Amino acid sequence: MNTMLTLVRRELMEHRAGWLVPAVHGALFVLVALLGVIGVARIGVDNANITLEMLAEQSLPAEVASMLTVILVPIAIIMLLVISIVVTFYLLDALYADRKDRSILFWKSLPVSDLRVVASKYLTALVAMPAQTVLVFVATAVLVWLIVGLAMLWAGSGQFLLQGPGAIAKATVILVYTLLTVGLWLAPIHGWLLLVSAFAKRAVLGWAVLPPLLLVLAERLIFGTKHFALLLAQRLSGGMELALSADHDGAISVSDDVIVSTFPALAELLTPGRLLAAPALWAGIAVAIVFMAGAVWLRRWRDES
Amino acid sequence: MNTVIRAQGLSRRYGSTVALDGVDFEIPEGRIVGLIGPNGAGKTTALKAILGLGPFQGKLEVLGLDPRRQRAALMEQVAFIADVAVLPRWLRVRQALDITQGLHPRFDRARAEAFLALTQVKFDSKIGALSKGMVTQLHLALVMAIDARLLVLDEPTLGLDIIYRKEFYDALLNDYFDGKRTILLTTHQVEEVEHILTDLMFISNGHLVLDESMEALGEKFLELATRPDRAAEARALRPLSERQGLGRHQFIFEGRTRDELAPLGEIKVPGVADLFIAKVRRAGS
Repeated sequence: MNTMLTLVRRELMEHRAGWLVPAVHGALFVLVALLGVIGVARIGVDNANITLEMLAEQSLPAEVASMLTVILVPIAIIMLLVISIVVTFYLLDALYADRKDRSILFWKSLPVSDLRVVASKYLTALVAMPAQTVLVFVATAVLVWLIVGLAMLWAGSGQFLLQGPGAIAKATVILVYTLLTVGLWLAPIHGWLLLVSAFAKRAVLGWAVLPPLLLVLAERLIFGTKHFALLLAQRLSGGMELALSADHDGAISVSDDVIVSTFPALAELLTPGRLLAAPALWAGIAVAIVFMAGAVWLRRWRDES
Repeated sequence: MNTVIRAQGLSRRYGSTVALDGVDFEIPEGRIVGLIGPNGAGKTTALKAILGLGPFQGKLEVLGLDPRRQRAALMEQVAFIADVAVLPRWLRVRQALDITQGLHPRFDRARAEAFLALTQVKFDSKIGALSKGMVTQLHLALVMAIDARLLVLDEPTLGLDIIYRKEFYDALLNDYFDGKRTILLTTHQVEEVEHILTDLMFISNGHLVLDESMEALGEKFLELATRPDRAAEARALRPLSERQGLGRHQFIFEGRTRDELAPLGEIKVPGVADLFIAKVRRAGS
């Protein structure tokens, strides 16, 4: 257990983009919130300008809570996208960088099995980097909430300060849930990236992208079908159509100069049962296990020095 | 005396090339063994087999373990440096200590820190910012703080300044070697390690051409320097090699007594480098 923690810490030491990139995005959102409340940036929704005073008039707690959630959830979604990209490049690098700079022999001189090493890299991508992202998101959300809440207090409504923690909690639950969904759903892609990372002598990105593309082309030319392309596209879309209900939507709208905001309850929005019942999820995990077993085998027996 | 490494019929092929061809040897505890050979002779292949880094055929036991199946357990008792100057460049010195401490149950951090305190290496430096000599000192500090039974060094001083090379071997001998540990090393610079070795193994074209203790070496091999007019008599005793220089002929003999050779000129124990050349040429022809 301690070994695994040390191994994951080692990964985070090397790949600081895992929290730096989300942190930079978080700082940008805080900046936008600041500019917004001091009136430098105008917030327009459906071509109507919303003023602080209009917002302050809307003081129904449920409405304010929805409004805050609608502001915070997009920040969470962007953090999700950002960390997904960071994780992709991390996994490509994970079993490749130390072979490239020859420091692999130092790592191999430590009494750690190759299974544990590969597991630590996958856990970093599946758990540690997403956890860092959640922390960065919570910090960002708290700052945005304080900025908006204090501005609203000044404009005459204390509701925004009161409803903040609930909205932050809700957005955080959505972020954690979607991070887990993406992690599990993309497991075969992540396994493939680890396999390429353990295999390629150079040009990891090319090795990661070209074989699937060639497979798509070959299927097209030989059978005239595109099953693999569809499979790939469905996989890369992230499994959100299974994990989230499409019947509900969050929005802020303006009618007759009154701001109306809605956001669905979590129980309506999140559909973990449907996700976990999908055979495609488990098939993907099975494929991921095969790829990762390949990565462990290559890590153990590849001899290129 | 416990046997640390036991190899029987150790072989490895790379495609059609035979890197190791059925090598047999045993290394007992408490020895400092130099594995000497030309490039491509199979030195590194042998070390890789011992460290479980590559596949091999034949029987091999290291500290009673099978390097193929029990690699992680083996690494608790075996330390190795393959090219000292390569440590991860992004790592800081302090982090290198943290990680080794976290992953190696037999690592004594205080010992490593004490060793580093004697050097210019700073704990907050990135390894990428250290000089090659400093990286060597760091790697040495890490390895010497591991209570290992076997230390394997593969060309440890390649590309280092002479000062660091000497320091490296001095530290190894004075601070690390305690008579119970075993050290196995390969190097090109035979002269540098000659005085610290207890045993010598020569490897050429995948075969062991010599496997002797240093004490036995002086009994088995003799170097004779004669005047040119006695050279024919010396040749009749079938030397391993002959060299000419400065009005003298130098011969290296295997298995001749001092009494046989003394009448022909001056005798001494041959240097390892000369002996190596003689044995490898003989094996090659």
